[in-house]
Amino acid sequence: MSVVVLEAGRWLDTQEDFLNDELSMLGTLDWDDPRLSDGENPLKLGRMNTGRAIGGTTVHFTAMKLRLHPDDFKLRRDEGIGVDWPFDYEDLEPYYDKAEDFVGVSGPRDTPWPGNRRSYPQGELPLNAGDEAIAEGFDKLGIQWRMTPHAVLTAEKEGRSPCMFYGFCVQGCKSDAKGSALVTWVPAAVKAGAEFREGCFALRIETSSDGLATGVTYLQDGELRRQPAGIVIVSCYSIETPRLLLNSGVANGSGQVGRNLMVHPASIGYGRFAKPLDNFVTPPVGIMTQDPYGTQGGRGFKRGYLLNRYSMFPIEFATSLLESQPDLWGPRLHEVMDRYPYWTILTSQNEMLPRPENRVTVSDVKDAHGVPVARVTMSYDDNDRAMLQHSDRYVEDVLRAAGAEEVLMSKGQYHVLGTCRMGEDPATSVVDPYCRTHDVPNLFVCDGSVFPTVGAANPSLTIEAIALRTAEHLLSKGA
Amino acid sequence: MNGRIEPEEFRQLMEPWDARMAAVAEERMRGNYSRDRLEHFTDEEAATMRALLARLIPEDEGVDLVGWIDSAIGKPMGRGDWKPGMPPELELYQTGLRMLDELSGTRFAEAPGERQDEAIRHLREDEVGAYFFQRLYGKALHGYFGHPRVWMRIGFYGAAYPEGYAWLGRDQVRMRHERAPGWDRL
Repeated sequence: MSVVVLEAGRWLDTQEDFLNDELSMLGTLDWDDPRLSDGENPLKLGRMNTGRAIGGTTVHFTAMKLRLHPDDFKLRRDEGIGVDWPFDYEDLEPYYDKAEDFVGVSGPRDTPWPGNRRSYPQGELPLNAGDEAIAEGFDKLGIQWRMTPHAVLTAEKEGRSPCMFYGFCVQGCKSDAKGSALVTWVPAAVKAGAEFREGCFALRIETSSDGLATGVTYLQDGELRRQPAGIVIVSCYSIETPRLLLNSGVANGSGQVGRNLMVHPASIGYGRFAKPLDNFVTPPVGIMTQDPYGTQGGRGFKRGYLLNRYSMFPIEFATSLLESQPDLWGPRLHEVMDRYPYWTILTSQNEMLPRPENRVTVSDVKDAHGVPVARVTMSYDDNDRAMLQHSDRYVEDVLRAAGAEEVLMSKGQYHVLGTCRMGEDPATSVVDPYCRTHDVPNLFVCDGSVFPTVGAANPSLTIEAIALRTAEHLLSKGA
Repeated sequence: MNGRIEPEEFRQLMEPWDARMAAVAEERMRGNYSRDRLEHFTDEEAATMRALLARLIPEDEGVDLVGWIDSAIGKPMGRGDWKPGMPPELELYQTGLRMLDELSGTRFAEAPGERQDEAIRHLREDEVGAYFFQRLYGKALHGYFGHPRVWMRIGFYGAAYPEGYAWLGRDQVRMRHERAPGWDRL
């Protein structure tokens, strides 16, 4: 079998192309082509959620490597909400193990929550001063906490250095400690014979009259090219994947392509402490709690959330805060930002349920190549709002208990998921349990789009586990 | 009470930086994003923008924010989302600047500070005005907080490569800041 990978972005070198500088790296790793964004809770699109480079969004991800919980897979069966995954946690577990071993996940030795590994391949990252402060708050309130498992090495692995605490994970890790696909899966694929082509923007999936995919038409540095293929796998993530399918007019017999877009809504609390914490000196995510995860009685909403300590460099700090602090200008801007090292951040990550009206469509607006751009529509419902109210209070309580003298609350949205739902029924889903589109037998979608529901955990590990499962299936069929 | 880093100390922090990062920082400190001539704005528009940014970011640390905005036009800088129905970036900025002049009853740049702030508040009650404020100010904050002199002002150490940050926990942070100016005044 020969494999060709078409990637719109560049093949970046971790030493040559990455800088420890927020400004220089903006747009270098991100999919920041125009997209229309609307709904009552419009998404910021680009840096925060969609990458463009060999290695994709993992090149800028914060490297949190969490599993979904077992009960995340069966919400319809167990709670009568959302939709079930077409398989169980147990089906995915061996692939979780394999992905964690392969990228080298560092994490705690014992974790009190379901769906977490008992012992990670590498020891956990150290706490920074912000973590130490937040941990005190958790302890005072009787909340369990652990260091978050990270795709960040704490010991050497196959020529990759352990974490050097540059803090610049999101700007592209210069030490190769961060297990982005760029430094893990891609070199392995190259070694196994795959060919990666950079700067290739896919325009259309071509199909024949007998309903099979025959290849992909793409632009490479402005030149129109065509790659014939026996099997086509689309892995462009939850906005560009449905855009490509819709613009190609394929795999949408169910009318579900682009529907059920989900994010992780977030309560972001900025806490100012009496003394500097220099929150930015480690990977951006520190300790976490999953105590509020999943549906719990007496809260007035379904499902739940997790919390983690977070840091932002100055540009992200100020621009994110501005979203919810409209008066952050004039003397007030300086009052807040002149104390930058004194602030630390605690953020929630909330589960949202699939709803067909949250969706990606293609608009009348065209991009520089003349291709209709995605229109992304996102609105929260009462459950989302009730959960955010709860997580707002929870975040603020922890920051106050930790000793914060001032707390500013903001909102965020992490990850984009759904839009090509996986399921058994061709009438209500886009792909089957092995990511094969119901309509086109040799066309697959393999990325975060296939998630039927999203839990509250970061998706990258689950995306990798699903990809391993699909790859194994393809190989067993002698593809 | 702040975390300000004095220039001499920042120079020391820069010493281990790799040549490329050091060059980027030096260039920003030398050039301040200034341009010989603006590419996208008339003198009048530039005057209004300069006056607006002076209200939004009063202490500019010598950073040429109008030059920054001019050089950043058409660069999404990691954010591709746009609100449907809003004019394209340059047109949005030109429209917003015109609205500010209209709302202040005279040229915005010549109005007293209080009237300027009032015009800014009124501007934000309009849908296009609010979007203009959000996008232009957001972009200005990128240039401002991307500038090494502003890092010194707010106590951000900048790049860590190749040595990495050596201070992590609270004791190490305390030890570091004990030697830093201002700690004794906390």
